[in-house]
Amino acid sequence: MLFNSFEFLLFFPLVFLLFWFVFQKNLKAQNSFILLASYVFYGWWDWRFLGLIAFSSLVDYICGLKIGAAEDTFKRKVYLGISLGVNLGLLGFFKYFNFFIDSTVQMINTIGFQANPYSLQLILPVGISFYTFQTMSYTIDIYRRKMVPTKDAVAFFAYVSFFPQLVAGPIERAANLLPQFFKKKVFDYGLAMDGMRQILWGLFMKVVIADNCAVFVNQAFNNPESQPASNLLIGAVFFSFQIYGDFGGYSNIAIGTGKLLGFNLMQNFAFPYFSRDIAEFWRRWHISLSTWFRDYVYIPLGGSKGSKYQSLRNILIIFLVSGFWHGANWTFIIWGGIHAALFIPLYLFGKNRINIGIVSQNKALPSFYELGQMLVTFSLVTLGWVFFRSPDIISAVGYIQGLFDMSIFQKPQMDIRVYLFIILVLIFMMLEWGGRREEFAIQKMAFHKPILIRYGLYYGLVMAVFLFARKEQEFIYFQF
Amino acid sequence: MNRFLVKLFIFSFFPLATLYGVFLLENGTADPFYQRFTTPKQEALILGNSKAAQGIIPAVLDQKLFQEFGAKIYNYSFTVYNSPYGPVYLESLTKKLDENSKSGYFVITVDPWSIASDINDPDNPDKFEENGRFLAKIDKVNSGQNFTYLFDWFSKSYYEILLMKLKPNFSKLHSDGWFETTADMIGTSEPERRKQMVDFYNDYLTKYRYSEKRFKYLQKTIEFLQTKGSVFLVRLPLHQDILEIENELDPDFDSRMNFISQQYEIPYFEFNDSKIKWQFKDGLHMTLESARDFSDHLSKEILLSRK
Repeated sequence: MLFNSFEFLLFFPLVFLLFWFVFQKNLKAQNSFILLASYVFYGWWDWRFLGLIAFSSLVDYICGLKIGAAEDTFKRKVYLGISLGVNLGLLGFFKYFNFFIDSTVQMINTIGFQANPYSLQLILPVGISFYTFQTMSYTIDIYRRKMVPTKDAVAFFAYVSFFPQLVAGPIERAANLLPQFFKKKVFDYGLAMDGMRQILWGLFMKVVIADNCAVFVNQAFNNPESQPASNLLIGAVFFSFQIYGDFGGYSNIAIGTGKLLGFNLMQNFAFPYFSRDIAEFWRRWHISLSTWFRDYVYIPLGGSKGSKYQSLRNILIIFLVSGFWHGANWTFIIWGGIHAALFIPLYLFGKNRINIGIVSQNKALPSFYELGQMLVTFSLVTLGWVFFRSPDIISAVGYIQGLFDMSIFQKPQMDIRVYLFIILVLIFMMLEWGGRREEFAIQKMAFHKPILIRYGLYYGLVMAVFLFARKEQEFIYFQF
Repeated sequence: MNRFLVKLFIFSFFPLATLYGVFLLENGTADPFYQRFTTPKQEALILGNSKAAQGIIPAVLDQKLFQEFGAKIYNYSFTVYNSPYGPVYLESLTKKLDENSKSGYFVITVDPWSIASDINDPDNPDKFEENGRFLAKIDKVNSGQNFTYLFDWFSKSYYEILLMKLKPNFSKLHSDGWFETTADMIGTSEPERRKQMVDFYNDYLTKYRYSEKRFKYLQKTIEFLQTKGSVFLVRLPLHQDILEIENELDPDFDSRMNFISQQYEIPYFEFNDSKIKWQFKDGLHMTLESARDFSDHLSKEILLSRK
């Protein structure tokens, strides 16, 4: 079920009303209902994969209890190994099996031997990359004695399958989300209103920005060799907004939906396109994934504690793994490699933590220097996205070559509506800039203005969502 | 909680009311089919695909035929994809017809595509390609605002309804069902567009086959419409390049139509034999001037056939 679908428009109000009016009596009823709603939500896409998520939850529930109960380190390691093995096994099988087979066959053929391609017709279960990471964080944290296992199976299963963030994150840590299932929810007007605003902003990002940019992005990327560089430039820049609108929008809808049910999910995007360098970008982009890799891969590898060589190796590993997490394609690995290459110089010169705070915190506008920094960072990120969006490396290289052509000064050969969407993207960025000190752009926007102005803003955004909606478009991150 | 729900309810009213207002503004410039499902039930219909939708102008027919039949005609033609003869189109046009009408008239335009199918078994109506499209899914075809169509089938984003008020339109679905388009919308020359159409239809030729079942449904459609008034079978003129492709698809097409014409005692007008040179935008769809002339010519032929 998509957040931007008619089904969800019926499903969620029903869940909301039942949750607060029928199942509010006790915690067990609330959690059981959340679990049921989550399984309906997931099963709507393909009920056959419900078994997979139930299996993953069961394994981690049992392993969590066993790790918690065992004092013997070996036993604890065994159960952790089972948990990691099952989750990574599922992920590896469904997501990476064909990639490894194809790559191996290609390699064998390249060195002169003959091997026949063999691949399985596998459907990638939606959200598998997200919920497997979420459950792994649970068993790892228990192993590290950072949390105690829960015996409440309903709460645990509901935590793993919590529908607002099940299929595309944020990837919640057990330490943040699971305890929220142990407290009976009481309706909080302020939180619910905040949730509504966040959903509205998420829908605007997805429906108005991402889905409409996608039209021009597809035109540019589907046939780049026959288009002027000006088209390719628009395609690349619009893809930056498409992917942000799509994924950031999903996260906002997910977090807002959680708030309407009384849950607080972690912030996943913090205005990444106002970053002044790549290091800052990675502190602001897909925060739940980057901190996951930091805590469960980078730090266990030694983080920045060892020698310079070890630190560089660790940085390279997490960027490549992060790229590979996004998909079974070399383009994603190269994308990770590009970001590593951009990050490493900052690290070597000790500049990776100089831009920590919010840009122009106490000013209305950035300085020219800050603006320049943001534009350079955005341009580098956009070049990286070309690899992310292209079907293969050769196409990506061809696309980038195509950008460096005199035809960049030509009038774009695109539908006239492109100018309308350039204006919309600019308005979007202005709103983002105005709200950059908050969790999401319109969280407190116009709070101190007359009520007509504030509600006028919401009205405008709702109308934009209605008017610019295209037929249901899937979220890009569903495929990861 | 109550405060939250009341606030939400009150706030929702304003955007929903505005959206409703936007829907009211759609007058055939944003979507090529929507208005066909918002106009009242009719007593006389033009049926067929896009050639008829663009090529037969109801207002021109009405000038000569309104007096004869006492009914204004409505163009209920769609496209090759949506409205070939079959159970879906028959059911939809039945809904569009005024149940009490007995003296209407019906221009049934035909070509080999309208009784052909591109599915593996062209005689299995359960698999007909139009079963999953809007004509099959829309229950009410005469509602003031057709929300089923607006929400599920409207071909563009709703902002286009407003945008079309600001920029020049190259197409418009008139209130009588005529779909007016100008050649400018395609932006190339007639020979280029015709070549594109030839390529397009040559590709179709590899997929489409004559369907006995569709032919039967054409017969059923005629039988049904004869209970509602007079029926005229029409094959619209085409450029020779496209005509050759049609003849290749079904070399016996004209004999089939002549057979039907005799079977039901209805006139069959085959305008490709005519000496008049019609002008086309793309070899298939007539230019505005030709559409006007052709509609006038057709109405004269219909009148003649009744003498």
